[in-house]
Amino acid sequence: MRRDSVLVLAARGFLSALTTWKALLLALVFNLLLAYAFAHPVNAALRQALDRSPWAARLAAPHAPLFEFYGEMSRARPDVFGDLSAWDAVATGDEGERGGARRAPLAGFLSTTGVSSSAAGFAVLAAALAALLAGGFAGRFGAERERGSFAAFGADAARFALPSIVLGALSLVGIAAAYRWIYAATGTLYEADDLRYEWEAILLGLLRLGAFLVVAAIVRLVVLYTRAAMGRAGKANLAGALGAALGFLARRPVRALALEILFGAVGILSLLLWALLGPLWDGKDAAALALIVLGQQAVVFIRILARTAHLGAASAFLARASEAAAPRVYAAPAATVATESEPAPEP
Amino acid sequence: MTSARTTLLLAGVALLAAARLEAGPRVPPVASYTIEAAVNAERVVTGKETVRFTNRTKHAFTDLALHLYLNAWRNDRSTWLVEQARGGGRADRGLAAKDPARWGWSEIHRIALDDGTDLTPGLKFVSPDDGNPDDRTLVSVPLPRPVAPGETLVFRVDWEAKFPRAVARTGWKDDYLLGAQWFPKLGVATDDGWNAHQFHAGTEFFADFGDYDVTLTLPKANKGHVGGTGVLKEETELAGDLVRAHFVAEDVHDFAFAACPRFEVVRDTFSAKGLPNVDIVLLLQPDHRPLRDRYLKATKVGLEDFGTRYLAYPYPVVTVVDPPWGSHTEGMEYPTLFVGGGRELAPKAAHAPESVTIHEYGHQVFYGMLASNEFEEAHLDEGFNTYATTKALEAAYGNPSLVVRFYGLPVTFAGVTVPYPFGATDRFHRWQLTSRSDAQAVPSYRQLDGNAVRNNAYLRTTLLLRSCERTFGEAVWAKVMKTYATRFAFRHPTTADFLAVVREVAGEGAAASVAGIVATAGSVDYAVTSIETHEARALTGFSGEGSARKFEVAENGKTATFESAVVVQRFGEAAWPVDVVFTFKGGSTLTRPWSGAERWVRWKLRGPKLISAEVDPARKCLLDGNTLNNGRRTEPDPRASRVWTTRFMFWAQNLLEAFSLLGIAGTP
Repeated sequence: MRRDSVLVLAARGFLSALTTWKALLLALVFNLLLAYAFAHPVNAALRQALDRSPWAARLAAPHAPLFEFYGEMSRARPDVFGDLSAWDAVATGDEGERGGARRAPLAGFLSTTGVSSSAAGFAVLAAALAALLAGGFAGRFGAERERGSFAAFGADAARFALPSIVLGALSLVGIAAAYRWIYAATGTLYEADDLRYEWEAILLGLLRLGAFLVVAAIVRLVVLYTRAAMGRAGKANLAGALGAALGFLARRPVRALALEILFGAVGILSLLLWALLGPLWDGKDAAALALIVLGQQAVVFIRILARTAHLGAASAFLARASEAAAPRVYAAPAATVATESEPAPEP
Repeated sequence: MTSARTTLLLAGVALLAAARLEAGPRVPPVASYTIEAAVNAERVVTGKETVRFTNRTKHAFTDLALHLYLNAWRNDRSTWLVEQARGGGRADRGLAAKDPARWGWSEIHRIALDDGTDLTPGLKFVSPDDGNPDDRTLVSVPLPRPVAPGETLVFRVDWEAKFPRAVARTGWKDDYLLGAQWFPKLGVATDDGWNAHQFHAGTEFFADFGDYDVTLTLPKANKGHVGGTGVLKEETELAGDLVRAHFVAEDVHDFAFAACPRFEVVRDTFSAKGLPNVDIVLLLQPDHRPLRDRYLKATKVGLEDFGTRYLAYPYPVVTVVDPPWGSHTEGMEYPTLFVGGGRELAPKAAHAPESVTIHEYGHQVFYGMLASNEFEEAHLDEGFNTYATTKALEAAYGNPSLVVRFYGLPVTFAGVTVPYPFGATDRFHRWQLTSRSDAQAVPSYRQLDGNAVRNNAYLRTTLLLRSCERTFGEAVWAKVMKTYATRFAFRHPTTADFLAVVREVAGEGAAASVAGIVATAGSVDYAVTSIETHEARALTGFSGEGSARKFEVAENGKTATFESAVVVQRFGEAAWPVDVVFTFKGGSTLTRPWSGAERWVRWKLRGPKLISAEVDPARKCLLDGNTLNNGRRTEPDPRASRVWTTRFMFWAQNLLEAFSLLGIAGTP
């Protein structure tokens, strides 16, 4: 197997990430703290609404009337969830009432109450924190020694803090702009209802979505490989790293994309697995709570690990490419002496 | 299907229909129309109609009131478009276009009495509802002499009209045309004169019963692909690549037609014990071919369910139109013809097109035969029909699952049931959080906006009727509905008529409850606001008198009897009779009915330890806008919150991890 094959690079990425396990745990703790702050208003409202209500017994039943409860809860406490329509529009591609006024793209994320509003703030905070930690990971993956050193991780995170945040902001703006100008703007070029068949409208919508995703994936890969290049160079030179990443990705787009898909699949599969297993717990057994929480943290840890391993794999990919590009030293062939003479006449 | 077989079938249907028509009209006609009209490729109608109006009221009519509905799309100053711009009706972007082909209009060139008296000079546009001088959807034509009670007036109208790009369920899209509200049409003759309103964005129509004889000339491409109100008697090819279709309908109050060269014509027959056979003509879009059987089954469900519960379908044919994508004609009813609506990707779990098919079929009863005033009392057709639709759907298909479309692709969440009538309940209560503008009793066209009309007409009424059924009993309520339907078939029933039936069948209490809801814009909301339970204490202090007086000190824990107190309050403006159920330790329960009229009530209970108290746990009253406050427990039950807070926390973690990718550009 080639040393720069996708599987080998993925394995090296995971190994690299695991050497930084203390930093990974730190990332998990940050995630947990942020999630606690984010979820607290909803969780407090749930306890307030349920604990002394006959609804508690209904929701603890096997076929809980979840849809009805959500309806009741979001109506009775509109301050808790807020208006989720902007998020819903992004998730489903719903462009408002058919034939009605178009929704302004990416509007409404901050102009409401409850988690729908705070989610945008937490998204930026999570992205900024991840960007900051990514500098530390990139530095360690690019280093020759002390890869598992937590102190060195902290030093790298500080050293690369500014370019990391800038990269994170670029990524955020790039993806948002791609959505606004590629997906949403192209939707105004035609009237879906004027197309003859529904499949034409669906196809056009999916093409627009596909174009956005491709551009978003490119933005993501550029940012990822720029981080890796910066870590390998050991210098907070954003422009140089960006140039190196662009050049690298231009020459190896297929394997870079394959790695993206592979790591994405690992993250999503762990989540899907939990989506099947998680609901088995009905809340009756309080002792099982610790087990459930541990399982949940394991899933989140795997997702953080996969995200970090992707950076590790990118770093390894860059390293392997550098090795391959280095001038080869050929050993000079040994000198030989040959004497030729006219064959002796046969007797 | 070959053309020969089609012709044979058409002939068969026509013969069958003719035989049934011989039975004669069911109601004396008031407004009958003979129409000859041609629709050209630009969707311009040139028509002549002869109207035979018989005055069956006590009023002498000195003028004629005629609707010109297509003028709603003549320009953006019409009442319809002004109301739509402020959220009055179905949204539509089409008319914003600068393409004249998308607009519509209707003009009377000449109107004259049968004897040739020209009435045209006196024609004037009137706006009795809003005084809008730019609205041209209603005209008044003075008569040379009044039409006395019992008298019949015959007049002729020559008119021209243009269909708009389909909007509000009339007009064209590509080669499809739904011809609705397209001819000059009389208002309704009442003892108080004409009941005729301008065309409003939030409301529909009202007309008198009569007979229709309509001949349509259309481009030849439509031959064999035309459907209309009543029975298609014949189709004839004409010179100039034209086709003429002749329709006859009796005892109806409107005429609509649909034509599209792409229609696939599917025929079937409904037959069920105790109900008359009905021929079904389905005009299907080819890209909706997989929906064919679902349309047919849903139509049969409607015919049987509504036929059994309310009124049997009395006409020989029902025509089901499957509109094309983006036509804006989905979900509309006309006599003996209705427009469904299907998607190319239509999971069965979503009950679409079943729900729209049954609903629009249901209008054959609640509109077609029970011809209430849709301008003024939209709840009598839309609300009653939505109630009946959910019952029919529930009985035939069960409850639907949640289906969400992601970028146009439907995903079914099989484990998440959306029980009927949850959709109506949730939407109505959400609206009530932001607006309580009008009661149902306010004439529909005068209500604040489209949301008020929709919520009052469809949702509040559905929930009210469902609540009646659950509160006063299924059998009683079924009798109420059946009595109302049979008593007022082929008439123009009102809310007062319905309330009289409720009073007669279900009693004064039920009628008062229903009338109370109809009269208020307010909400229903009951809440258990206080609950306590403690061990009953023996007496502390003196008891007895004189020599029998003694001092006692109660000791705790020596009795198994508990004293409990529960306070239930009415937060809403409206009242509804409810049960309050007390649950005690050991599982025993006690139910106490409460009229719900007082602002609050306190119950004092003595017995086992009280665990919980709940207002209307069986959810008989669907009008209650907040059931989270309906019950209280004396001790907390943290099971559910434990599960859901843990889950929410986990999904929050994953959401934040997904957001991280924006910063780090890693895996999603």
